Amino acid sequence: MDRQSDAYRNATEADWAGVNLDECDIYPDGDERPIRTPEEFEADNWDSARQAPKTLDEAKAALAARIADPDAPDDESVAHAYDHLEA
Amino acid sequence: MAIWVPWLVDAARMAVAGTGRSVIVQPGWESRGHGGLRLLEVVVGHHTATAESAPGDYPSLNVVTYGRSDLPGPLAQLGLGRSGNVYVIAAGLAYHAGASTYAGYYDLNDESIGIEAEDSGDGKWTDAQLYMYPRLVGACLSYMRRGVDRYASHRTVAEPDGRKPDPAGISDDWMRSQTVIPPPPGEDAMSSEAERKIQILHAQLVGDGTGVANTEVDKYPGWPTLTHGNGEPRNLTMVDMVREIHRQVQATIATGGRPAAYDLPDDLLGHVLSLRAEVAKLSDEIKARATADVDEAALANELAVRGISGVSAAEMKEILSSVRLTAGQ
Repeated sequence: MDRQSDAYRNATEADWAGVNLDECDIYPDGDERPIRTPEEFEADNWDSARQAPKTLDEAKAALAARIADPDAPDDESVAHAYDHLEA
Repeated sequence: MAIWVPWLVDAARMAVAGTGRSVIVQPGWESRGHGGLRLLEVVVGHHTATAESAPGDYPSLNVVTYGRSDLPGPLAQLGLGRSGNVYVIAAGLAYHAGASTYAGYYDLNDESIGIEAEDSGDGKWTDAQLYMYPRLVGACLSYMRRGVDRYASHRTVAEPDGRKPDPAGISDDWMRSQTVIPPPPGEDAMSSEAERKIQILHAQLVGDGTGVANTEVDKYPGWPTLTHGNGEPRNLTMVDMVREIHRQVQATIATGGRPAAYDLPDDLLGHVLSLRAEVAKLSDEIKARATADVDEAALANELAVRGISGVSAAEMKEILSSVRLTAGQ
């Protein structure tokens, strides 16, 4: 079990009790504030900063970096997750 | 350079439109993330596997948003509560996919968004969740301008195979078949399953005129009434088709039961009907003449006027009597 799964499974009443919606912005169904459409976002070129997809080598490097990062959920158990994809 | 997903609130609101559910937006969502995304190509479905005893609609909200002491959040961009309410959490990168591949993309944390649906991990979904989950997926795909094939479960994308089970009880096929691309507010939605059925019905009527290879509809030749005979659609409505059939039935009756050819032009059909009327008129005239009383003297005079000498008036009267008998049958 990785730390991502543990975060949910090991959550306690303190975690659940801490949910506070007072500061949330709530949109009930039928809220009259306008909804921007997919077409409008597309016209704004919302993902103009997109980059090329990662190559397999880049993916392996990214995974290795997360495994080495104590703040990321990945651990050594997935260190070779992409090895079978090598040509 | 990185992208931050600016339309999450709008997509969530489009998903809940007309459902009675709400969208709950966490403060600071626009700038929350472990950096931005590299690109956005996939929607990944998850379950939280939070204890069933956890109270409320979305008890995992704090964990998904802020993580825990040993794991900083966010752990997903969107959440789905037990009631079907949608939670908007982060516009940037979230740790939700881990080691993963899908559709030629690798390591999906920064190439996808994740939806963490509240569940104990045993597939005991509420009806509201089963209704809203595909709507939320569809709304996201709509804003991404991607098809339903770009939804995948964590179970499917996780590497190595078998590493993840979520979302339990919801197959990728089911999700895709139920996915709804929400229409603009005020219009009815249609599921991809409903669209597929309509495509098949259309193919049954007019053949596969889509130009798209699809074995499911290629097998239907369509009704010739609705095409030009070469498979090219005539763009008739169902009412047009019924009228066409009615016209052909009437034409068949009018021509004495001889089957009318498909697509008999109206002007040719008019000629046929005119000729048939002329024949009927002549037939009636002959009958009238044959059944009239015959004056032998007048008959002899008529034979003389017409220069007919090979038959006498008496013989002609006998012939006409015979015709009269035939006509009377």
